[in-house]
Amino acid sequence: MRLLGLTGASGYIGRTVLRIAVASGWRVVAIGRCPVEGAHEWRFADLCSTPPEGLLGGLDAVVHLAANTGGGIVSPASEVAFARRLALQAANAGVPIICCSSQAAAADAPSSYGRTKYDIEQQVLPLNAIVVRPGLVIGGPETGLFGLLVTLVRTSPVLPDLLPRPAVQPVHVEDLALAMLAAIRRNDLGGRILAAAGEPIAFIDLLVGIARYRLGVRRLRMPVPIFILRGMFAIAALKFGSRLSPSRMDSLARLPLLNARDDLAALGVSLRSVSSALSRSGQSTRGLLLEARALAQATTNVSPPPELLRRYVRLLRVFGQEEGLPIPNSLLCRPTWLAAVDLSFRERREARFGGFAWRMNLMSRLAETQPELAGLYLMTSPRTGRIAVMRGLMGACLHEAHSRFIAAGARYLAKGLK
Amino acid sequence: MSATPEPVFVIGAGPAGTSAALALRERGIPVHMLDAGVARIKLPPVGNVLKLRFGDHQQWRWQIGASGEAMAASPEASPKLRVPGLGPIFDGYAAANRIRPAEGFHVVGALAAGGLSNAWGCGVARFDTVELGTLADDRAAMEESYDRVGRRMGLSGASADALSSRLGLDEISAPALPLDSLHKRLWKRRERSGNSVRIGRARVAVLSKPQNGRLACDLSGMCLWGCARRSTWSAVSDAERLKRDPGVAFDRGVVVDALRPDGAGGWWIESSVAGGTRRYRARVVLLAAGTLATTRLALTALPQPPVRLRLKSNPMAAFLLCLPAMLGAPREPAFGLAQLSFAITQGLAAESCGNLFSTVGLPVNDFLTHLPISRRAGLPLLRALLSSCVVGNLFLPGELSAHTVSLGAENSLSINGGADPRLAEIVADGRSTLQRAFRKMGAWLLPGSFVEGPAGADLHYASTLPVSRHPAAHECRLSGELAGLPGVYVVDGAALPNLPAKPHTLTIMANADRVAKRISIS
Repeated sequence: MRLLGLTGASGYIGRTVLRIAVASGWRVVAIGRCPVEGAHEWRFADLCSTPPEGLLGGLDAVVHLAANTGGGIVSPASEVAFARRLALQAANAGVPIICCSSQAAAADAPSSYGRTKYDIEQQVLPLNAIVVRPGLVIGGPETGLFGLLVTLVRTSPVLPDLLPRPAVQPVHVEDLALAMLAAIRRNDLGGRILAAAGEPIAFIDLLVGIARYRLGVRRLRMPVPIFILRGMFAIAALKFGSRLSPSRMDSLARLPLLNARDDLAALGVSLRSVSSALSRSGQSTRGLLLEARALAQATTNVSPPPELLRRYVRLLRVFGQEEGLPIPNSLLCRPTWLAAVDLSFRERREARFGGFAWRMNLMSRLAETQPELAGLYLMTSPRTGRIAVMRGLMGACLHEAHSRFIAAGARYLAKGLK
Repeated sequence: MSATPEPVFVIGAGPAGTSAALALRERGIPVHMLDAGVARIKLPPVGNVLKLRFGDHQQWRWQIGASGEAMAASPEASPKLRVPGLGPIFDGYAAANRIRPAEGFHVVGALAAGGLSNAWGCGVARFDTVELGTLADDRAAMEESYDRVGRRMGLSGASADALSSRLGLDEISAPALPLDSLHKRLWKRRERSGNSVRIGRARVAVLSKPQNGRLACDLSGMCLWGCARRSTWSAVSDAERLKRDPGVAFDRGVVVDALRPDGAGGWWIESSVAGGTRRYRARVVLLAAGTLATTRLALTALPQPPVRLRLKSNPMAAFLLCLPAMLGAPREPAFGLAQLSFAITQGLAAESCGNLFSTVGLPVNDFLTHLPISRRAGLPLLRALLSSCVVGNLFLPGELSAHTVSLGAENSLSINGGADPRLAEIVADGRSTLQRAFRKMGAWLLPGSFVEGPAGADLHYASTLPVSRHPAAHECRLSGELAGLPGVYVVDGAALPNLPAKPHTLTIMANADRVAKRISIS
């Protein structure tokens, strides 16, 4: 069995790397201040001191995740020195090493975190280490920066919609771990920087996603100019330390764009969607169920039986449709508006497989096979006779008039839905 | 001591293949059937459609399919082609038979014993002398075959009405099935339609009395989804009879790729089976693989195939009629196939004909998809209207289609859809003729409901290798034998000289019966 040395094994990313490495057949040696549950072996090392000689003896690969993320006693200089020595030892032993860096890494980064990461990169790259720059890591256990964001959404009634809107590039922690383990297996990547990050989305959309897919709650968004929040952070930092420092705010606002597509393709890793990544299971059943409910209400105008929603999600998966439609919250909670998006029968006929019109059709067809809803489709007693016809026609007219009235607005909100 | 006669090979176990095989067996001739089908047809539960719609929590399985089969098919396709239980039999037909349609042509064929009769509308009619064309040269034999085949299938719909002589089957048909109240109302007012449109009971291959282990129709309304009582005829029951016959070798899962001369006046039948190929040597081969597959086999076997052949099919349209007097009527279970038939006798669309159906077994969502309003508004609208509506279809003569087929790369069959330039005008005339006639009977053609089907959607492919008096190499003699391929007979729709608007399945079967009888005599 091959031996993998792992620093930072007890951290947010480390725990996932540990789990996935063990699952894919590695024996994992935790390198750190104390043993880590789940690892096969433990060797002592500390970021504050030089790594002991022979630390990497017998190892087949090393993943260096340990970092100082929130102040404390580790100086940036010792962090850089530790990484350099570790990479040197690996180079001397001919062992591939991956150093986890950051999207914030830059010589002129606003935060000391970003500058330190940049310095580390400069030290280890000439030693043939592979540097991985992840985007904003999300999913999995609620620790690390992700845990902080989840706590923010959970406790705060409003979500800050920062202006101007900073973009983040989320990557699920498991996808990142898979990318790192894939990079180890390659022997031609030494000395290169690989990006592991999703497509850019607005920071507020990430927070809304956490509310919707992770916590199942609704939150108001409140526009907040960044400079105001920065000021608040500066005050908070006086009390709580650097975990909420204003430089962290600057770092968020000035994240350099990562182009990860080619790197991920080369590693054979495909990232899951943000909705999947944010759900607890890592598979976005919740998002699909929410979509199912909204579409069912939009087509039938009644509260749908849960069986129908589950069936919809099941059939979507049969068709390989794991991702929810990007239905904005404003439409998700207003099915009548969603119904108004579905006006054109031409779109219905030319429905793109898996698209909005196709899914409306799937839901509409499925709803018809629901015995509880059969009365909506078939005129049967007790609701028969001329009065029932008049009511039906009036209902149709009112619904249609309402839909036409709000159609322009609904279509504007749904512009990403085609 | 007489030697055992060589078996006659029949390729395809649909209506044509089984009719020919049964006729051969009646004269004691051994038959070897090759059928592509391995798929089994899943039948829906037994019961009344309304009770199932309101009570069966698993109905999505037979309406949509556990793998969403109904959603995978094009929404333009006929509802019948989206029935999940039938999905496996249509899938792969075009690919297995190397048929490549051009844009805008629907190719449907069945890879299952029973062929397309697993999903047909059960309409039957007898062709008159003009419609039979060259086949009328053997009129007496054709008439005899019509009677024999019709009796075996079990027809109903006999009624002294305006279509009696036109459909010509009353002598061999049982009385018609009861009409639902909408059709009853139209039936009572049939005389008001005037001279341009004649109304009659639909003649269908559905049992109104039990026959040969099949049960009589109980008006459960499940026709679209499959008849668990087997009241509607399909070639499956005949194929099963043949399988039990010790004089029949029945090979399933065999897709015939090509016919090649064996050098001794016979043929090698080259075929693909799961995991390999198989060859059969035959002296007499009957092609009944479905018009398109049969045409491809004939063209690849001909030493000098024609560059292009004409393919006929019936241009068609569908519409919705509302009977305002019946507004608010509760839904009632009803026979789900054609209840009334009509024929247009005047105007540009003369010779066109069609049928009227109950909507009770049809998915309402299919109508919703075509409404120019939101589904949310469409749902109460359709609930209010559909119980007083009947659906109609209109078929036009095959002469108005102008499709062509030709051999393409790797011996595939390419199809190009086309139509007579007058078609749009004729359809429009037919529409207004119908609109006027039905209006007089108290039924309104709902605005926007008249929809023309895409080319080929009727599935009535025919006449590529027609029976002819002076046959070219790719045409059939009156005996059914292809002029350019001795020993190879065409018994499916490809051999029809004409394709009138009337239902043509019975004529294909009667011709197959006739050809097989002639072969067995000689």
